[in-house]
Amino acid sequence: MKGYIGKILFVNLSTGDIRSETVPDEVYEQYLAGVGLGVHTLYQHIPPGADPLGPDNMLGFVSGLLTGTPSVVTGRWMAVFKSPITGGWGDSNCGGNFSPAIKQCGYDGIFINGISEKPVYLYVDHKIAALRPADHIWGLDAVDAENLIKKECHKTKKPVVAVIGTSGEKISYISGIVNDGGRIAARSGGGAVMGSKRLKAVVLAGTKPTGCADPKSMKVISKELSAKIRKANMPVRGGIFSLMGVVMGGMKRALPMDGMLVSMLMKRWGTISNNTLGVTSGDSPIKNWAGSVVDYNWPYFRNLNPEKIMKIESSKYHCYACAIGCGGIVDIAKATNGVFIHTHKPEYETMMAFGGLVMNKDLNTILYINELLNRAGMDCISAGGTVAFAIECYENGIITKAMAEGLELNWGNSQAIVALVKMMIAREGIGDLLADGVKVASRKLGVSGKPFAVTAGGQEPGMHDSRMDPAIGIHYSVDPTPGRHTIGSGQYYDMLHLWEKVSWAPNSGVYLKADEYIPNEKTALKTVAMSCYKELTDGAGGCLFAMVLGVNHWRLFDWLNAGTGWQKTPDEYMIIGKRIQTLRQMFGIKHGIDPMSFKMSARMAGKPPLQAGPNKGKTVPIKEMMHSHWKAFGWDEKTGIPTRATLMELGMEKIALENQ
Amino acid sequence: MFVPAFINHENVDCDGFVTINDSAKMTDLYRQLKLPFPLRLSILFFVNYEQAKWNTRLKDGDTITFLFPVTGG
Repeated sequence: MKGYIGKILFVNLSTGDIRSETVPDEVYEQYLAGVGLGVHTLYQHIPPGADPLGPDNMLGFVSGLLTGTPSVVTGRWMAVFKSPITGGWGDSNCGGNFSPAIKQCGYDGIFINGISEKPVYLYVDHKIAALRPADHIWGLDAVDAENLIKKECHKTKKPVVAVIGTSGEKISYISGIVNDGGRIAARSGGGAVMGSKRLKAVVLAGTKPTGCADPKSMKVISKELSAKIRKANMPVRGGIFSLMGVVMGGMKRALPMDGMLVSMLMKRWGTISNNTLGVTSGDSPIKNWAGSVVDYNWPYFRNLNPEKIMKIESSKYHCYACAIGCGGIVDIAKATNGVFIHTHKPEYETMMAFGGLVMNKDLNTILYINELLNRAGMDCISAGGTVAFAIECYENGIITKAMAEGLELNWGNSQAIVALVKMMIAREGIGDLLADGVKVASRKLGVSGKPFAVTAGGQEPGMHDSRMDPAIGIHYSVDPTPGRHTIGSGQYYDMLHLWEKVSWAPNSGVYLKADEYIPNEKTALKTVAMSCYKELTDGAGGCLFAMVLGVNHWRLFDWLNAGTGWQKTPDEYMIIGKRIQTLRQMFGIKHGIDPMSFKMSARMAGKPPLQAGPNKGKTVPIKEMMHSHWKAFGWDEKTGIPTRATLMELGMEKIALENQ
Repeated sequence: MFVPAFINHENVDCDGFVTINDSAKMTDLYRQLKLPFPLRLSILFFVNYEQAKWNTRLKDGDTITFLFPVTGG
C-alpha cells in the first residue's frame, strides 16, 4: 500500500471496449499520479498530429497520489488531454469530491478515447464499468444534468459526477468539465474535448479504501497543519484590503513571507479577498490590460468589496480532506430577480474577469454571470477575456452594432455584457464567433496579433498582472499550458520557502522589486523551482492554496515519503517535478508546438507601458526571461526544446531517441 | 520571524531568525527591530499563528508573523 492504486482504466468510445491495465511501481516513482501519470499515459497514446476533437485524442481523469490518504488539502483531480486551444498539452484541475471517487472505484485514472455515435455517460464503481445512453441528459446544463444522474445512479452510494454543460456539448474551446454542482476544471478546453466525444458525464460510485505505507505519520503532519490553520484568524475586515493594496503596490522591496497568512484569508473570504487589493496594488488587469486603478477607481471597485459578498454567503464548504475551506454558497435570488437561487461564491478570477477587465461595476451581473458560466461549463477567465476583446473590437469598429445584434458593447455596459455571455453560451450570432475564445475570434475577424487580442499562446491569461509580478509573466509564457496563473509567481515563491528543503532553490532574501524585471540566473532558477514544485503538487493532488502555505506547513515531501514509504529527499522529489514538466513540454514538441509561440502578448509585457497606476512605465523583457528560464531548466536556451542531455539525465532515454 | 519589508533588517539573519533576551516580550522585540513608533500602532502580529499582545512573552522557537498591509512580495 503506497497511496496509489496501481491500476488505470481505458475506455474506447468508438468500439465500446473497456479494459483495465496495471501500472508498474516505477511509473509512480518517476511521475507520481495526477498530472504526472496523466502526461506519461497520454504521451504514449496520442499520436502526433491527432485532431484534439477527433477520436485519437485521449481524455484522462486522474486522481492525485496523496488523495484518499490521511494527508490534507490533497483532494484535487486532474483532467488531461490534447488542448484544442493550443494544439499542445492540455490539463486542468478541480477540487470537490471527484478525486477520491476515482480511487474508490479501484483506479488512479480513467482514460477515454474514440468518439461515441450517440451521447453516453460512463458509469464506474468498484465492480463494473459501463457506457450508458445519455440522450435524456444531453442538452441539460451541468448542474441539472448532475442532479438527474445522481438520482438515476444512486443505489448504495450517492455517486460523484463530472459532467459537461451545454458549452462542452457545443464544443466551445473555452469550456471545461464540471463537478460538485458548478465547480469547473476550466482551462485548456477540456469540455470541448469531452463534448467532441459525445461523453456527457463520468459517474463514479465505488467504495474501495485507499491504503498507504505509514498512515500514523501522515496523520501527525495533518493534525499539526490543521491546528495551525484552525487558530490562525485575520482580525480585520475586508474593507481594509483596498488600502493594503495601495501600500503593496508602492513597495520598493520584497522578502520571504509566511504563507500561513494565505490560510487566514482563504478560510474567511476565499479568493475574493484579492478583489479590491488586486485593483489598487496593480495585480488586477484593468480594461483588457490597457487600464489601471485610475480608470477602475473607487466608485467602481468599491462594489467588489469582499464583505458585500460575505453578506449574502449562506454557507461555507470544504473540498474533500481540506483543512482550509475557501468555498461558499451565496444567495443570489435577489441579485438575479429569482432566476437563480444560489451560486458558488465567485472566485476572484471571475470577479475581475467580469469586473475590472471589462470595466463593469455591477456586482449583481457578476453573480449572475458566475452561475450562467458554471451551469454552461464555460471558463470564466477565458469568457471574460473574450468579452473584453469584443468590447475593444466594438470600440475600434471591427465588431459593429449590427454584428452584435443591436448590443452596445461599451466598457462597463453590464446588461450588454450579460447578453453577450448568453449568446456565447448558446453560440448564437456574434456569440458563435466568440465562443472559442480570443485566438479563434481574432483570426476570424482578421485581427490576430493586434494589441487587444490578449493571450499567451492563444489562451486567455489569468487575472494577475505580469507587469506587477514579472515571474508570473514567465510562467504565462513558458508553461506548456500557457496563460496559466496557478503555476507560479514571485509572490508565491517568496511564500514557499523551498530553499529550506531543496539544495538548489535560491533563497529570495530581501530584494528590490526592480530586480524582478532584470533577466538573470537567480530569477530563472526561482521560476524553474516553482514549476517543478507545482508539478509535484499536481501529481500529488495538492491544492495551490495549500502549496503556497510553504514547505514547512504543508509538508508535501514528508507526506509523500510517509504515504509511499520511499524515503526520497526533497532534491529527489524535485527531479520528479522536473521530469513531469519536461514531459509536458515534450508532449507539445511531439505535436508541433513552437515554445516561443506561447510568449504572452506585448500588452501583458508592458509594451507599450501603462501611462498611469501602480504599473506605470513598467515593461517586462519577456523574451530574454523565457530564454533564461529555458536555459536554467536544461532546455535549449533559444528554442525551449528539452535538450538530449537533460532527457537522458531525467531517465527519458526512449523519448530522447524518438526525438533525435 | 516574518517581518515587513520596510523594517530594519540588521538584527534579523538571512533565514529570518532573531536573537532576543530570555523572557523578552513583544515590546522588547519591537524596540530591537527599531520600528518607528507610529508604525507600531498599525501592525498586527501573531505568535505561533495566534494574535498576540504587546506583553506576550516570547520563548525559544516561537514563530512571529507581522501583518502590515503585506509583508513583502
